[in-house]
Amino acid sequence: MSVQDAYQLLYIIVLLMLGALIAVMLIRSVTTKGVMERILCVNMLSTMVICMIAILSRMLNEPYLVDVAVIYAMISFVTVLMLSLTHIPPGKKRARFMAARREGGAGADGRRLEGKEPEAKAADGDGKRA
Amino acid sequence: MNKSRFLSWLYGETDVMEDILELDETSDESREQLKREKRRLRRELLRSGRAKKVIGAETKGFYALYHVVAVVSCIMLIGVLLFAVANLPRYGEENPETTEMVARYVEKGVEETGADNIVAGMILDYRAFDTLGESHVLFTALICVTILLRLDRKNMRKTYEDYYAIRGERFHDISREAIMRNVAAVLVPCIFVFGIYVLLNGQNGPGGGFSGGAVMGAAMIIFSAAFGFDKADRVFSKRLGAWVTFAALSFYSAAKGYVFFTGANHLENHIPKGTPGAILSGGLILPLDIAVGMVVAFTMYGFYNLFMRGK
Amino acid sequence: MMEWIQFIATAVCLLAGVFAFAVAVIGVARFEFVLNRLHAAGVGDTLGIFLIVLGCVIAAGFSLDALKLVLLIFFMWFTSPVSTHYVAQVEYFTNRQLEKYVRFIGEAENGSDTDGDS
Repeated sequence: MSVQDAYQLLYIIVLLMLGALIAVMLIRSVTTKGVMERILCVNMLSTMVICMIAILSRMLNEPYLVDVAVIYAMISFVTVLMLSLTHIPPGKKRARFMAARREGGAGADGRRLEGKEPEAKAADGDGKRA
Repeated sequence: MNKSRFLSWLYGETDVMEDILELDETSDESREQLKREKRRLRRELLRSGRAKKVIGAETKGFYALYHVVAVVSCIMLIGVLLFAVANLPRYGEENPETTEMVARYVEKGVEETGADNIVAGMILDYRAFDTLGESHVLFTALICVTILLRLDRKNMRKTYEDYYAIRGERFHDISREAIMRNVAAVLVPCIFVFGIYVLLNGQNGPGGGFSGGAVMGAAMIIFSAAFGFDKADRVFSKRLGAWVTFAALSFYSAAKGYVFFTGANHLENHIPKGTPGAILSGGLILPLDIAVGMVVAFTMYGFYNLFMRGK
Repeated sequence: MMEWIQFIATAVCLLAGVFAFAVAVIGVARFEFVLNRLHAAGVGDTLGIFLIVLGCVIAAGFSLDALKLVLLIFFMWFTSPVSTHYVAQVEYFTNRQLEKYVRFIGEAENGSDTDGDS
């Protein structure tokens, strides 16, 4: 078998394996609970897609697909950045949250701070929802 | 068990993000104050007699007319569209749109337009009128959002500290962080140059005006997010955005007007086609690409800017 | 003969890259907490993509394609730590159950804002 056929076979095998990993990540991004877990899975997924596009550009011998991969990388970067920026609480609320977490202790039962300390509850009127 | 959970999620009875992430009610004192001011002013206005007459005419005449006209125009539009769709040829039949035109584009596309990329040749040469309309749509959307969301200095925001104060209540301000500044100092020029490269290579490969403009817009967004409003406004100010989009659209309209004029009168338009594969090829495709790219980039950046400053 | 050496080098790099990605995916799938998953995802973001793109560079030889692929690697290496940083920031500032998974060693007195030098 010539070198070209070997290359094509190699690319196809690698693409299939990467495709299986992408399928696993896709299912994981739906079944895990938690916003940041999902964002992380989507980030991994887009990294694997970028790798697949790079391999495709070698397989089909088209040089412009690498530009497409760079654009995908940029899009995934801006996506994760902006998605996580909207969830970081800004300055004042962050200070309240850190104070509540330090004083109230970690709620071992459930994620909601049940306001055990009256201090934490008096500090911010809606102690549960920060 | 799973079926009922799925159904309750489907019908919106349960909150998926309940214990995981909660949105807070933004207790915006300035917004409450504004609402109270508005209510007070409206009450005072309604007390005077002249206002009663004006508002009375408004409520009776205008709203009734508005509803009637809205319903009538919707029905007319639906009727026209349905009639047009009913008279389309059946799917799959031999009609000129799918056989003759496609054959002509594919066979003679490269030699008639001078571009290797047949898609770019189509959207910017054969069907450039469509792209003109699209660019105008982008421009109109930006104007409408600007009218609705932009606050003049006389209105509410006096200085940039107000912007930061309002935005700082809702979003975390990353423009003061060292990591973002250092990374953006290296990345933004690279992404911008890459966007220009994608734009200029519209006729030789995939790319062109829209994707190049989107990449440039993303570079501007990263720049604005990393360095803050004041520094970004010095470079990409509103005046620059307005003038650049206006100039781009005027140039596009003028160029296409010239081409239509010479084409309709069977004259020769002396625009060189060049050799396919070079950068300066394809006649008017490169300048039109640049115009479209400018409009797209400033539209994206304008939307980001207006929505981030908040109200 | 040189072509076969090039092919073997490409094959080794590509398969090692797929292995790195597999490790990363298993890590992300099996760990429990976001900050642990970030560790696993970091492996994929840096080592995995480096090995696969290195394989493509070897397959391309000395040409413009290789330069563009090197640009891709550098772009990913620049931006993926920043994304990771912000994901960790969100988790740090939003999670109330952080004590259960993380041991704090010495927290600052105030809210430990992350405003850098302005």
